[in-house]
Amino acid sequence: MRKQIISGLAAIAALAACATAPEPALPQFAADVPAPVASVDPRVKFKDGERYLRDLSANLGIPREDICKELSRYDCMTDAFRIVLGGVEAPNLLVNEPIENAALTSPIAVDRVALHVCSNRVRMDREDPAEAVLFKAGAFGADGRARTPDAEWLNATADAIYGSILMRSPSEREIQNLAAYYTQVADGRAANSPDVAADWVTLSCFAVASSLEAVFY
Amino acid sequence: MTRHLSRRNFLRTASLGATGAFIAARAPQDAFAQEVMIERAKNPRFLIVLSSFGGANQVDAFLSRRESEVPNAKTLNAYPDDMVQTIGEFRAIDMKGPSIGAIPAAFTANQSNFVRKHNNDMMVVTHTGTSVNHFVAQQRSINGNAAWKGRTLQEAVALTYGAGYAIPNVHLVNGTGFTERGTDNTLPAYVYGERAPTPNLWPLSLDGYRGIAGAPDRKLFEAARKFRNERLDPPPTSSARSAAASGSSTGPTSGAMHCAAWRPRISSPS
Repeated sequence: MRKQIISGLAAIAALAACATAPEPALPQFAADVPAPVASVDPRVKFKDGERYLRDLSANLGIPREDICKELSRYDCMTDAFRIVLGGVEAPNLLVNEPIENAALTSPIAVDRVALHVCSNRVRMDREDPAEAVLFKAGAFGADGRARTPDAEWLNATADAIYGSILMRSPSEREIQNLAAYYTQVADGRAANSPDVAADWVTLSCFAVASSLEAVFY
Repeated sequence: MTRHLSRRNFLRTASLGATGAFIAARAPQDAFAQEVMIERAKNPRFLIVLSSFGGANQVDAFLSRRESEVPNAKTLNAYPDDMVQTIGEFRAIDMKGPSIGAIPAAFTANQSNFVRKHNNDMMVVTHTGTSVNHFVAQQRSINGNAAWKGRTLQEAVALTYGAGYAIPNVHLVNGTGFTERGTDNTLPAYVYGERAPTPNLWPLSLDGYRGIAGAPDRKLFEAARKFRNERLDPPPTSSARSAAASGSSTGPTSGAMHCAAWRPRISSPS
C-alpha cells in the first residue's frame, strides 16, 4: 500500500522543493518540463477535513463557516464528515485519534465537499461577476450575447482553477486537458450557453479540488 | 491514516462495491471458497452494531435475576421480583430514577420495549475476561484476543454472510474497543466495520452528488469523476512504480509539477 501511494504521489512530493526555490519569472504557459527529482522517502499526508476545507476557503475566497453546508445547515466537517475525513471528536463521540484506515465513505465525502465548494464558488461568481474568482464573464455577456468560449478564455479559466486551488501554474498539458474537457461538458447542449460554461467551471474545479494533489500534502 | 489512505484506493473500493469488490479482493484465493461465499451471501446478514457500555448493568439486564432466585440477594446484583419482566427467552428491567448512582443525572431506561420488539432476533452471549482497562477488554470481547485469526466477531460474520455487499458491517459505535478493527489485514475491504459516527448525517456520505444544491447534472458529475481519475490522476505507469519502489528518480512524469508561483492571468470581466 505504501508503495502504491508513493508511486502515485511521487510528483506531489516534489512540491516540497518548491518551498525554498527562488521565484522564477512569471510564466504564461509553462511548458512541460521534467519534474524535480522525487524524494527517496516521500511522506505524503492526507489533509484532514478541516485542513482541506480551510485550504479551499482561503484559496477560493469563501468564508470557512459558509464554504460547505450539508442540507444548508450542517457544516461538512464539523457536523457531517468529521470522523470519516480524519478528524477527532473526543467530548461526545469519544474519538480521540483519527481513524487509521480510510472509511468506505471517505472518498465519497471528499467528493461531496469538493462539489459543494465548487458549486458555491461558481454560484457566487455568477451572482457577483465583479468579484468572480473562477467563472469570470470573459466571453459571456460582455455585449449581451453569449458565444462559444474561445481558447483564450478556456485557457485563462483553467489557469485560474489550478492557480486558485493548487496555488501553482498548470502545465501546458493540464491546460489542454481542461480546455478539451469543455467539449465533453457541452456534448448535446449549446456550446455557447453560459450554463454550459458554468458547469464546465464547476466540474473542472471539482476535478482539481478532489485530485490527489489537492487532497494530500 | 497516511499509510492507508489514498483517494484512488478508497475510491476504487467504493466504486467497485458489491460483487466486483468481492471478486477483486478474493481473486487470487481459492475459487471454490469464493463460490461457496457468494452462494451463502444470497441470504445475506447485515450487521448494525450498537454498543451499550458503562456502569449501568447492561451486562446482566437481559439475564437479570430476581431477588427470590438469589440466595444472597442483598449483597449480589439482583432486582426486586416485580421489576424483572420475562419476555421470550430474555428478561428486561424498566428503570427510572433521579440519579445514576452518585451521578446527579435523571434517567429513564425502558428495556422491555426493546426486548419485546427484537427478542426473536436476539442472542445474548456471556463473556468473562480480564484486562488492564475497559478499552482492551472491549476489544477482547469481540476478537477473543486473536482467537479467530485476528478477526473480530463482526468481521467473521461479515466475511461469512456479507460477500457481494458493499457495507455489510456498519458500526453505530464510536470511541470504544467494540468497533476496533481486527488484526487480519487479508480480508476483503467490505468485511471491516464501517463507522457511522453521526448516524443522522451519515447517509449523505453514501452518495457524492445527491442533495447538493446548484451542482451540474449527475451524468456530468460522474463524467467529471472519470475525467479526474483518468486524466488528472492517471494511474502511475509501471516504470514510475518501479522507480518509486527503488527510490530512484522518476524523471518526467505525467502532470509534471512546476515551482513557478502562480499569478492570475485571467482578465477582469469587461
